[in-house]
Order: sequence, then C-alpha cells, then structure tokens
Amino acid sequence: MMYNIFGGSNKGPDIYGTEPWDFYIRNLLINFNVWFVLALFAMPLLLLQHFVRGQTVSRQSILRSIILVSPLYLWLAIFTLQPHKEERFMYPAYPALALNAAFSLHTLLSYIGSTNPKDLISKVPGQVKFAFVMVFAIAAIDVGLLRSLGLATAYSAPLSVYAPLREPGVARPGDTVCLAKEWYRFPSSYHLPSGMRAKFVKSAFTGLLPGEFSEARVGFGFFPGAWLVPPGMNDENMEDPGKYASTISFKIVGLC
Amino acid sequence: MQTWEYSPEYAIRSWAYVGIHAIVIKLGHLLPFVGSKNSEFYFLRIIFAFVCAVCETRLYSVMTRLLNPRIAIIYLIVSVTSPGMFHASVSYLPSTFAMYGTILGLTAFMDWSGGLRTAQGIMWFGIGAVLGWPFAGVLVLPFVFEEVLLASLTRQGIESIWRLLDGTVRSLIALVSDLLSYTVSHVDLTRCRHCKPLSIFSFTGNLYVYHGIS
Repeated sequence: MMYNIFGGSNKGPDIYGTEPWDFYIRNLLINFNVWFVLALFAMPLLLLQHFVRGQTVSRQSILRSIILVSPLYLWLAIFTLQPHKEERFMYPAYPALALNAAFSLHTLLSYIGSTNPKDLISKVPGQVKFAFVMVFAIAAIDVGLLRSLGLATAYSAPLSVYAPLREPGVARPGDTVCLAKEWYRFPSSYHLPSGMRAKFVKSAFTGLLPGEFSEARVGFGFFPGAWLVPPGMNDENMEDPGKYASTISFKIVGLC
Repeated sequence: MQTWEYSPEYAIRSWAYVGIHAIVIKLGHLLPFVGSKNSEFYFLRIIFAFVCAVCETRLYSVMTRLLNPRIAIIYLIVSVTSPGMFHASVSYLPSTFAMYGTILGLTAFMDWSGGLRTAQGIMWFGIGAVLGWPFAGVLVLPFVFEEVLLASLTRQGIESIWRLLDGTVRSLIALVSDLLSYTVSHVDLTRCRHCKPLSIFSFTGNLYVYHGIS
C-alpha cells in the first residue's frame, strides 16, 4: 500500500501501464453484460421505488438497502480514478455487483408485474409481459454462458500448450523451457513436469522479469527461499540482464 | 519464479496468503488423484470453486430469508451464469480471496436475525483485506458508516463502539498470522552475529529481524 500510494516518481502502479477512464465500464460489460447496466441503476431505482412509488423493495429498511447497494459505486469510483487498471481489481466488488443487479431487476419486475390501474404498465397483457421478461433473462444468461464458453475454448491455449511435455519420455529432469516475449502467458511452473524449469531469453520486452527463488540450504531459519534476498530486483520495472539464460544451455526450446 | 514483490527487500506481498494454499495442497496429497504438479494446480482450483460456492450459498440463503426470495434467486442466476464470476471464483489471486471476504461480509451485515452482526461483518471483510488485498477493506466503509449513523440516532454509542471494536479485534487475529509470515520471510539467522547456538526451544527468543536493524 505504501508503494502504491506513496511510491514517488518512477515507482508506484502507473509504471506498469495505464488505461483510459472507461476501462472498467467496458470490462464489466464483457464480464456481466446487461447485469452490469442493471447494477448501476440499483441506487436510482431503489430511491424511486421508495420515495416516488412508496413501496418497499425488500424486508430491510431503506437505510440498510441504500448501504447494501453502495459498495459497488464506492469501489468503481475509486478504481476509475486510478490510472493503473486491471480486470482483477474489480473482483472484490463482483458479489456487490450481482447483488445490485438483483435489486434492480427485482424492482423492475415489481413494476412490470403491477396490476394497479394507475400504472400504465397494467394495460399490457400478462402474456406479453411474461414473454418480454423471459426473452430478456434468457438472452442475458445465454450471452454470459457463451462468453464463459468462449473463455474456456478460445483462451485456454496457455493451459494446454505444455501438456505434451508431460507425456512420458518427452522431458527429463533438468530440461528447460524457454520463454520470450510471450512470457506473461506462462501460467505457472505447475504446468511443467517435475524437475523441468522455465527460463527467459532476451526479447522485445524491456521490463523486470521474475527471478528464481534461492535454493541454498543455509542458515537455521525456515524457508530460506523466502527470506534470502534475490539478486537484481528493483521496484522501478527496470530490466535486469541477470534474468536471462544463455541460449546454449537449452535442451528444449519453445514459445520463443 | 519469484517476482520482485516477494523479495524481502520490498516485501509487498504476504506469505500468509501463499501459506494457506500450501496447506490446502499438502492436504490434497492425501487424495489418490493428487500427486503431479499439474494435478496440484487443478486440485487447488477445485477447492476455490467449492469455497466460493459455499460462501455464495450462505449469502443466497440469508438473502432469501432477510431480503426477498426473488432478489436471492436473481443474485444466484447472475453469479452462476456471468463470465466475471466464472474466472473470478477460481483465480489464485488475493483479489479472489478478498471477494470471498466480501461475500461473507455482506452475509453477516444482511443477517440481523438474533442481533446485529457488525463484528462478524467487519471480521470477514477484515480477513479478506489482511490476508488477501488490503485495499478491499474499503468495502466495509458503508457498513461502518451505517453503524455510526444508527448509533448517533439511537444514542446507543457504547454498544456500537463495542461492536466496532469487537470486529476490529477479530480482524487483528488475521493480521497476527500475516505478521508471523512476514517474520518468516525477514528472519535471516545467518546474519545473527550475537546469537548463541540455538536450540529449537529458544528459537523464537533469538529471532534477529535484520529488516529493522540493517
């Protein structure tokens, strides 16, 4: 937190890339499609329902309802103001988003289902209302499921590309996989067979790459890999030549 | 692979978060199908999916009872079918851990059957923030604001302060485990010139935290 807020020049989150202000809006539209739009309308709909139509939305008091729908707005406002944006930064607010969307749709449904002659909507036949709501809900669900399917089928190459290495007889302990410009797609060492390592070769990337944990078995403390300071690290995303392996040492070369 | 955030020099990330997952994988080794590194990876994701489903089921049941059954079922449909939750629920990321905290925190604040659960709510948000992502603690602010507002309206200040304090203390328990892991990553006994030969029992008494001295 100290680093992110009081980093100073050449430090802090902004050196890792910045995005325009509408990044989260576009991203959440992909991740929650129409539910995100509904979630944004939760507060106005709640106030409208309570103060204009004089109906309660839920069994909670109006104050508690306002408090329940407010975390999403707070979160979105804070992170939209930050220049450095990432998809995962929205994760903690996802449940709040789903809650807000549910509040909104519930409020809209109670208006659509109204049989009060004073409401214009009561003139619409029940079957038409039902068909409209069903088409809306099924479309929203389908778009969400298709996107999830798309994520699993179209973006899963980094998870499957290492599978052949795990076939018997392909890799031996001590072998190396080399990563170049696409290094950030490497999912984790857990996808390599035991004893195999990933190393980097020089590519167009000029930032700081991850290093290796010390494997020295020194000292009396637990987990020396965790407390020994690794060489060549900095907090300014500056390139460290020590992170590159010499290409001669490779037995298996891939993804370069 | 070690990123610079984990270097003891900067120590931006906590080992407590990693430690919890290491325990999960160690327990997973008791199962016959968890052995290779690849199976460990997917076993952890299965546990994430299970934990997230348990948290969401709790929120769903409280919503049904104390909000409205229709709101609850819509919440469930959005959570289950949206691509956002599809990847957020099973990521090995502190943000995902903080999200579980949000779900349980919302559950506690919503559920006032049998008295206010402010302390419990603060605790869940607190655990998510301390072990996961500190910034996620911001999400508790609306609820703290409500507590303070209600206390000032009903003149029950003492009970309110007590509840807030109770919640803070519960979160501090998570902080202690976090600090312990911080110590593990910062204790370098080889640099301890004045330490006497250590027996395992005097180990904690001789910790030399070079981070504070050098």
